[in-house]
This record gives sequence, structure tokens and C-alpha cells, in this order.
Amino acid sequence: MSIIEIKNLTKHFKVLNRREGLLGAARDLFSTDYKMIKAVDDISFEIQPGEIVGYIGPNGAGKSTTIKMMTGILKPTSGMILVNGQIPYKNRQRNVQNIGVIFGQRTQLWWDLPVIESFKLLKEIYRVDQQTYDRQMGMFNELSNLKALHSQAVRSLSLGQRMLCDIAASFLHNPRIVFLDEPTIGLDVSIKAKIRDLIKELNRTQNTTIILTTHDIGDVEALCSRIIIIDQGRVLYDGDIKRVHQLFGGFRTLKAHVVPFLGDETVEQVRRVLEDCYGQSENLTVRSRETGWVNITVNQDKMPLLEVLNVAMSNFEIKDVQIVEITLESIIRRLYDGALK
Amino acid sequence: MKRYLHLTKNTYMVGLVWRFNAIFTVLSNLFYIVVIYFLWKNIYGSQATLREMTFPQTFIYLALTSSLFVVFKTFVDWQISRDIISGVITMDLIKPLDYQVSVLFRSAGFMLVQLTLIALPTLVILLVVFHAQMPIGINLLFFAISLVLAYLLSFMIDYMVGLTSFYTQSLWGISTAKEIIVLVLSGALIPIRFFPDALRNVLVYLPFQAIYNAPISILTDPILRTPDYLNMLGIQLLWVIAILVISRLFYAQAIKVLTIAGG
Amino acid sequence: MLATLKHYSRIYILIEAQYIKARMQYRADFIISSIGMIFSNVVSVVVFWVLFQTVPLLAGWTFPEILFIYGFYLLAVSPAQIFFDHIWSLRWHLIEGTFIKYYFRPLNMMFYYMSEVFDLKGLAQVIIGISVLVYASIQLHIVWSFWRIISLLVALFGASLVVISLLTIASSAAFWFMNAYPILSLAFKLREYSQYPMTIFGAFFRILFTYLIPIGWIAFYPSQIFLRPSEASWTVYLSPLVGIALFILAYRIWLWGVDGYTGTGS
Repeated sequence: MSIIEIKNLTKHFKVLNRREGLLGAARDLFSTDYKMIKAVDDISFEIQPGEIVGYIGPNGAGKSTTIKMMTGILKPTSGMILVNGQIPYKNRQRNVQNIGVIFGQRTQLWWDLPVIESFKLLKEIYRVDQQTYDRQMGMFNELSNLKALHSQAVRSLSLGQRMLCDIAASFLHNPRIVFLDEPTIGLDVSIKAKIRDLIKELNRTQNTTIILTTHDIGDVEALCSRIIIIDQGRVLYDGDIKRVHQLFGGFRTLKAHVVPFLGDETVEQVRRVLEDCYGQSENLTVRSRETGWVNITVNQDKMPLLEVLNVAMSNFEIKDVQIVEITLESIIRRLYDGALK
Repeated sequence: MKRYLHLTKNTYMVGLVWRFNAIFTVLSNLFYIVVIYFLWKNIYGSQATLREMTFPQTFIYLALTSSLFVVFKTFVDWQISRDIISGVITMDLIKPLDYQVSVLFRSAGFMLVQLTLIALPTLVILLVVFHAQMPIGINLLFFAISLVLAYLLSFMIDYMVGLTSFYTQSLWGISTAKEIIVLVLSGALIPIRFFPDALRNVLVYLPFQAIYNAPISILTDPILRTPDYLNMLGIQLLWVIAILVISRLFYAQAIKVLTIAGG
Repeated sequence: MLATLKHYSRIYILIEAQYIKARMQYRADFIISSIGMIFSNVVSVVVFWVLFQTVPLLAGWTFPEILFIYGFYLLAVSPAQIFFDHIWSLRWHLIEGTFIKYYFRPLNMMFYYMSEVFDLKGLAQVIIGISVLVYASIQLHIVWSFWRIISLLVALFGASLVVISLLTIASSAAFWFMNAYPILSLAFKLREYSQYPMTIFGAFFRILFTYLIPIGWIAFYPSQIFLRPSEASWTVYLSPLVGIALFILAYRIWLWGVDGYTGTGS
């Protein structure tokens, strides 16, 4: 039985076309001139217990809106949504008892209080029995040495420490689903690793379903077996992360340090030369992301990579070359450009 | 001078944009005046005069002091407190403008907005309704001067309250205490004549009456003549100078906290 | 029902015990704020005292009677001051999006939101209120029997609900208007005018302050039960019901706002 079931879920927002000035504001009160924004447009998917799903997309894609509907804050315009077998926006308090949420960059712990007091409060609020409480706290300790932070006020913690506490707190009452929104943003690599380990281990031991929203590809690759890509309110891709790699695994980016580098002009020149040779296609793209470097992305399965490099080198002065795997970011960009259509 | 005036223009423009705020401030002031009206009407009961003031005189006096209070309330103390806590004040200290003067001109912009949007309409309404009771003549000129002096005095007291933020974060307590003291002792809540004689003699010698009692009396008291006006302006001026000196000294003391404590 | 009450009481005590412990580290701030509060409460007593040096009665009420109403007023506004002080920050939480966190706990949202702030300086107000009330009672020779005290508490309970409701409704405007601060500010000011006897007002304002912006029910009408019970209309005994009805309205408006809030971000 799926733990989350979403079918034809749609959410529209009516946005007023606001008018200028005081008189305009007064008239706005009686206005019927609305713009309809489709934040979420007919999406469907099912999530099984224990899955760690990456829910990714650019800003404005509708991620937050979907999460808000799953946590019961927003009512859908149409479609069906069941979380833990219940309709989320009916009886908020009952539904929230069985989920954990990390949403936004602000902590949900009590700012001025020592960390341990926040946990004691949560134990009270979620009616966690002593046994479960001790077991969970023991686990948090083992996995991330939370005990060291117990007596410190939340406001005195570093961002990484605070995030660790927030994540632990969201698992305290042993919820069936946890929604994590950008859990590693702004953190350095070592803390990121710690956090990913914590999440992975908690998922393994408690079979907690985890919905992870993130821009960090490292998070996705470390934790998720499945990703759902959303853009402009629609699902672009829903499936195994491996399949994505299969489709795009053949892509390599040739980074060429061209001299002299004249910005867009140079990029244009390189593109023209390569397209004259190989024609235009999605198997070959040329752009620049850093000053001095031209990125030539080639689908190795369809085009001879080293030959392309040769052509480039015979037409331009290239001081340095790097060959890198395609990033998930790049893959997503391609999906937006319709690679899977 | 031009640079300072620029600050005034800025806050004046911003203030005008706060039309929503202004409407509610006017409404709030109107409610207060209504309460004052009924309260004092009942205090007077059937008596024509109390302490040598008629009901219309007392009412006009209090309606104007309340409007003046709104005009003078430019939140200077909160502004300075924010500057200090956020550290922005160090930027102001680097600029080639005197801090106190620049805060003054900034506040003046806001004050002028309140004056035009709130006090002037109130004054006009009162003049229309009560024109028989209010002296209209050369006292208006003296009133204008008195108003400026009163504002300077009010500003400097607020300024010093704001400076206490160098020493403590509890601005609310200090600001509230100051407000109460000023309102009571200046004759803004109750005309000075209503105080028992012993207290009245003390109040005349305090700077607070120079903020509210002086300008409003000049505007509304029919008994006063030119010598009286000049006398009151003189006292106001003396207080302005005295408080100015104190505020400069206080500033010099307070700013040391920055250099001791560091950034 | 009782179990829920117990649950919430436990949580509230736990939260506030910790909150107060954290705040008390700022000893100086507590003292200075309390002093400010004392000033702002005592000023009315001073004003009344000065007035009564000149006239013996205010709209037919003696000085001790006016003081009684004032003491009642201070006690009626204290619960709102102490327990609901977080209303002043509502518009910030809504604009910044931090309000969203209150949706995620299995707790009543109004309870959770208000529990985040406990205004300690309100305690000074309670002390002054009790002092003024006791002094006035002595001057008026009011006998405080057991039942009288119970009815005082019930009347205060109803009156405090009126204050809480008016302020909560005013702050809820933030759910629909960006610049809702002036509305709350105005409501806060109007609350102050309830310390004066309603009989000073002409018909229009008396109707306004009894039925539309019911500040009359904060101090004046409930005080009648104790001041001049023989002259009082039977309706003043309804004051607790007015408070409860108003609070139900305020809570409905709050829920309406909470329901419609969508947060920031997409």
C-alpha cells in the first residue's frame, strides 16, 4: 500500500492584477480582474513506505506547493491526495502527528532554550512514551553525538549543528514520513556528509519514508534511489536515478581553455565551427560557465569525442583541457529542453 | 546645509507614501479628542470656569496638545537604538555630517508630514468651530517660533533617550517612562493650572512645559500679550540651549562606549 | 476534554518555565521594563488625583469609584498583555514566511503561536492593578465575601476575553493587509479609553462603545456589579458572556486567516 498517493493533483492560485496608488488599492478590493497561476498542474505519483525520494526542480516549479499540499497546509484545486491513508488538509493536527517536517531555513526548535529542553518539549507535544524517547535519543547520540550539544542554547549553535538537531528532532516521534527541505544548504562538505549519513541510517533502521527537496545534487546522489523532477507544475521525470544516468551517462563535457578568450564571441566561434562539421543536434552543445573556459558537451555514444576535440584544437588555440562527467544539473537542464519528450 | 535638507526631503517623501498609516493616526487622534471632549465636559458639569479656564478653552488646549504630541512623535529614540544595535551608527560617524544634526533633519521630514497631514487639519477644524474663542493675531507668528523651539526641545530629549541604547537594550522602559514624565509635567495631559499650587510652581521651572504648555498657550490663551509671548519664548530658548549643551556632553560620553567595546 | 486541558497546561508550563528562565538572565531589562510599565500605569492615578482636587465628582462618580474601575481595567488588560503579546509580531512572521512552522506541530496553532512570548513586565501591571483595586475597595467599604471574590474573578475573566478578542481581531488584519500595524495600534489605544466611565459619552459613542467596539465591557460595565449593584442594569451580569462570544468571533477570524495563508515561496 502506497504511503503517499497523488492523482491528477492540481493547484491554481488566483492572483490579483494589482493597480497603482491608493485609489487603485481601493478599487482592488472590488476587482474581479484575476490572473490564474497554475502552480501545480495535473501531477500523479505514488510513494512506497521506506523510499527516499528526491523531489527536484527549479525555483517556482511548484515543489513547495506540492509539499504544502502533502503536509495539509494547502487544499488542492482538484485531484486526489492521500498521505498515510488520510486526506492531509482534513484534521491537520491528527496528520501532523505522524509526519516530520523541515521547511525553510528557520529552526523549529525553541531559539533561547538548551537543545535538550526542546527535545523534552517535543516529547510532551507528540506524546512520545519514555521508551521510544530514550531509544531515539540514544540513536541520535550514536549517529551524530548529539549529547555534546544538549546543554547549548539553539541560538548559539553553528548552522550545521543546528541542522543536525532539527533533523533529529523531526525523527523524534518516529514518524512514518519525513519531509526535508534543503537540509544541507549553506553547509560545508564534512557536515553535509554527516547529515547525509544520519538521514540514511534513520531511514534504514526505522523504514521512514523520506521526501527530499534539494538543489544539491550531492544530496540526491548520496541518498535517493528515485527522483521526481518537476517544472512549471508538471512532472518531467519520475523514476530511477540510474535510468537518468543511463540516458545521459554517455554525455561528457569537454572543458577547453581557449586563448584569447573573448567571452560570448569566442563561444559563438567555437559553436559555429563544430556545427559546420557535425550539424546542430542535442548531442552537441557549446556554452561557457567560467571565464576562459568553453564547455563542449558531447554525447559520446553518438559522436566521437576525441575527434571533436581534434577539430577544436586545429581551429583554436587551446591551452588546457578537462573531461568531466555530466552533472545532474546539466541533465535537468536538458530535460527542460525536452530531452525526454 | 543642503546635505541636511536632502535628508529632510527624503523622509518627507517616504512619510507621504504612508497614507494608510496617516489615516489611522488621524483616526486615533480623533478618538482621543472625542474622549477628551466628553471627559472634560463631564468634569466641568454645570460650572462655567474651573481654575480660570472655560470648558472650550480647556478643550481646545488639550486637543491641540494631543495633536502636537502626535506631530512630535518621530520615533527618534527607536531610530537611534536601531542604529546602535545594528552597528550602522559607525557609518554615520564616518560621514562628514554631525550625527545629531543629521538625525534632527531626518526626523524633521517625518515631523513635517505629521504636521501637514494631522495637525493642520485638526487646527483648521478647531479654528472653524471655535473661532470666537481663539485669539488670532500676532500670536500666530510667535506660535510658529515657539513651535520650532518646542520641537527642538522634544527632539533633544528623545535623542538622549535614544543614546541610552549605548548602555542598555531596554529602550521600551526608558522611552515609556520619559513619555509619561513629559506628558504629565508639561501640561499636555492636564493643563498646568489644574495642578495644586505647590506643584504648579515647580512645573514652571522645568523644561517640559516649554514643549507643550508654552506653544499651545501662546496659540490659545486670550489673556496673554506680547510681553508674555516674548517671556515664554525667552524661557524656551534658554532651555533649548541648556538641553543642547547637555545632549552634546551626553553624546561625547556615550560614544566612548563604542571605542571601548570595539566594533 | 479534561485530558486535552491537562496536556496543554503541561506543555504551556514547560515552555514558559524555560522561557522565563532564559529571560531572567537579562535582569536589568526586566527591571527597566517593569519600571516603564509602572510609570505608564501610575500616570492615570496621578491624572485622576489631580482632577479630583478641582472637582468632587466625575460624571457622578467619586474618586474611589473611578479608582475601582481603573484597578479593574488594569487587571482586565493584563492577561492579554502577558499571554498574548506575540500578536505584535504576527505581521512579520506572515511576511517573512516564518509563520509556516506553526502548522507542523500537533498543537492548536493559536496556542502554539501565543506560547512563544510571555510578557514579564505585565506582572508589574497586575501588582499595581491589585493595589489600586484593594485601596479603592477599602475606601468604598466593599466587603469581599467568598462569592463576591468568585464573581470578581468571573467578571475579570470575561473582561479579559474582551480585550484579548479585540486585539487578536485587530492583529489578524495582517493576514489580509500588508500594512496592518496601524489597525492594531488603534485597537491598543481604544483599549485604554475603557478606563473611563461610559456615562461620560453622548448617545452615539455610548452605543459605539457598547455594541460595535465593545470597550465598555472591559472595565466599566463589569465594575457596576460591585460599585452600585442596586442601580445596575441586569445586563452587566452578562459581561462574561460578551467576552466568550467575542472570543469565539476572534478565534473564527484567526482560523479564517490561518486557512487562507499560503506562505512564501512556490
